[in-house]
Amino acid sequence: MDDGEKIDRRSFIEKAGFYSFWLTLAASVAGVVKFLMPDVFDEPSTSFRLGKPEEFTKDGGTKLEDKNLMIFKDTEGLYVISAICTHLGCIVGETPAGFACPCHGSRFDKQGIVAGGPAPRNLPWFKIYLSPEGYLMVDTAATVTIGEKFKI
Amino acid sequence: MSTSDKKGAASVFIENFKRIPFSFRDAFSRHDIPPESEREKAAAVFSNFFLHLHPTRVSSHVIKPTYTLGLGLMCAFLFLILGVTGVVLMIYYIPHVDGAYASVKNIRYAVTGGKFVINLHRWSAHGMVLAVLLHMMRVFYTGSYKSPREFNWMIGVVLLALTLALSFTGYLLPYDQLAYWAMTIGANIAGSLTELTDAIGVTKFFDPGKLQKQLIIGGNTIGEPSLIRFYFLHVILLPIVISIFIGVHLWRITKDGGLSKPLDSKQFTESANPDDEKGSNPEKTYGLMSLIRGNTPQVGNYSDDTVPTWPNVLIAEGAVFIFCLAAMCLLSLFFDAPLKELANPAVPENPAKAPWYFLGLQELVSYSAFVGGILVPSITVLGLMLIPFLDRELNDVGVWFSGSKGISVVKRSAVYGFFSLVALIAFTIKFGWLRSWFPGVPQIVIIAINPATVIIGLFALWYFKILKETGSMRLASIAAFTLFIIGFAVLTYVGTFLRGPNWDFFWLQSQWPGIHFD
Repeated sequence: MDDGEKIDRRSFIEKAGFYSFWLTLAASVAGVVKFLMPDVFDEPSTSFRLGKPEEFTKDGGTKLEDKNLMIFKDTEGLYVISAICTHLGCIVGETPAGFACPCHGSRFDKQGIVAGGPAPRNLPWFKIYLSPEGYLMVDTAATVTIGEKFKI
Repeated sequence: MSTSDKKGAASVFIENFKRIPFSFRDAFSRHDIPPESEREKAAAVFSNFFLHLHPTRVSSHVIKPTYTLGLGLMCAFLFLILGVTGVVLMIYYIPHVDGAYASVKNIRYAVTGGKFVINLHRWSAHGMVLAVLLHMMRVFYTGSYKSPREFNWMIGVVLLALTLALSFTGYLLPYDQLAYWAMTIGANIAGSLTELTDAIGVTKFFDPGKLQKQLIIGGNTIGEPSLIRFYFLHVILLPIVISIFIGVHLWRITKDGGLSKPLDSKQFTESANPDDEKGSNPEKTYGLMSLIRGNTPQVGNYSDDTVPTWPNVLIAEGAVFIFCLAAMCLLSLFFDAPLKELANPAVPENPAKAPWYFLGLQELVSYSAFVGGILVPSITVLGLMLIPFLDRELNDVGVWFSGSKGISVVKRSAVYGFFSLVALIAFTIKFGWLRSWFPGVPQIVIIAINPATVIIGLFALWYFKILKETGSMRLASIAAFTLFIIGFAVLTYVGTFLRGPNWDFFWLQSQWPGIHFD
C-alpha cells in the first residue's frame, strides 16, 4: 500500500463492519455444514473376518452378499473384489465375460478391469491379512493392486 | 320499565337472533356478497385475503383457454392436492428403515381410503412434473419470459428444479427397491465430482464429491441417517422453500403487469373512458390495486378489452381446479401407485429404472456420471435462466411461436434434433463408444468426449446456425429450447422403452431375457 494513503475513522469503521458481516456469515455457514456432518458415522467396521484359512480349499468364487464383495480362490491364492460398481454404486452381477452393472450398463472383465460403459475406475481389490487369532481378515478401506493375491 | 319496553327488548333479541347468519356473513366478508357494480367487484378482489393476489381486472386476451391452457393453475392446484394428501400421509408414515416400508403397506392395506390417498399423492406428483414442464413450454413459446418478466421466468426455473427435488425425495420414502437404489444413485451422482477431480488428479487434496455425498446421506452408505435426511427435505425444508417461491411467482405476475399479452391488444391509456362509477371516490388508486405499473393515480384508466376478475377469472380457476381434482381422482381409482419389494442392499433390480421424468437423465448418466448427472443439468438450468437476458427482443410477446417464422424454426429444429439424436444413440448402441474401442482411454477423455457432450455440441452448433441465418435472438432461443424439449423426449423414450437388463438395448420389453416382467 502507498505510504501516503490515509483512511479516515468513519470509512475504517464502515469497512470493518462490512467485512465482519461477511466473515460472520461465512463462519455461520461453515458451522451449519459442520452440524450436518456428524463427527462419527454410525457404520460397521471396514475390516471383518472372512473365516479360517482351511475353509478356503476349493478353487472358485463366492459372493458375500451383506458386505457386497466377491471372494475368489485359484491356484495362486485368495483375492477379494468389490461388487459395488464404481460408476454410481449399484451391485454388479456375474456374466460369462466378467461383471455387468444392472443400472447403467458398466462392464468389467473377470479381474474387475473396466471393459465398457460409464464406470470411471476398475473394481477395487481389497486387502486380505491374517489376524493374530488365525482368521483371514479383509479390510474394505485398504486396496491392493489388481492381481495381488493372498497366498494361503 | 313498562311491559311494552320488555316486549320490545325481547323482539330485538329475536330479530337479531334471526339475523345472525346475515350479520355473520357481513362480518366474515370485507366486501359485498355478491358484488354488483364494477367497483364492488374490484373491491371484492383486493379486499379479500384469498383473492388479493389477483388484479381487479384482466385483459380478456389472457382468459382465453387457448392462450394459457390453464397450465400454471394446474401446477398450483396439483401442489395444493399434494400438500393436503401429504400431510394426511404423515399421520401413518414412519421415517425409519425398519418401519417405513411396513407403514406404507399399512396405509395401502389397513387404512380406509389409504390406498386412494397414496395414489392421489403419487399421481399428482407425476402430474405436477408434467404440468410444470408444459407450463414452461407455454411461457417460452408465447414469449412471456421477456422484459419485465425475466425475473419471474428465473423463479419458474427454480420452481422446476424444486418440483423435481420434491418428487425425487418423495419416492425415496417408502424404502422399497426403487427408493434404496435411487438413494444410492442420487448420492453417488452428488459424489461424481470425484470423477472429475480424479481425472485431473486432485482428489487427494480436495474431494468435494465425497463431502457432498456425505452431507446428503449422512454417511458413506445408505441407512437411517439418509432416510431421515430425505424425509426432512421432503416434508419440511423443500415444501417451505417451494411455497415461498410459488408465492413470489404468483405475486410477480400481477406486479409485472399481469399475464403477457400481445402489444396490439389495447393497453391502459390515459385517454381511455372512465368506468361506470364516474365521479365516485375510489378507495384506492388503480396503481395501488396493481392494475398498472407505477403509482400514479390513473383512476379508471383501463381500456374496454378488460373484464372484471370477479367472476370471470374465478370461474376459470374453479374449472381448472375441478378438472385437476377429477383427473387425479379418476387416475387414483383405476391405477395404483407402484410399490416395489422391500429394499435389498445386496441386489438391485435389473434394470433399476427411475420414474419416467428421470429416465432421460439416467440415459445420459449411462455415458458418464459427472457429465450426465451434474454437467448437463447445470448447463440446462443455466441456459434456461439466461434465455430472457440474451433475448431482449420485445416484439411478438404473447403470440404463440412469435408467428410463422417461429413455427418454421420449431419444425426445422425438431426434425434436426430428432434425427441427429436418434443417429447418435443408434451409433452408440451399434458400435459402442471410446472405451469399447480403446480400453485404456483415460477418464478425462471420456468426460470431454461422450454422447452427452456430443449432443451439447450438436445443439450449440444448430443454435448458432439459426442465429446467423435469422439474426434474431428470439428465433435462436426458439431453436435451442425446441432442441431441449426434443432431447428430453427422445432420451426419455430411449430410457423408458428401449433399455432392458444391464441397460442393454431392446426394441420391446417382451424381448428381455429372464422373467423381468412388471
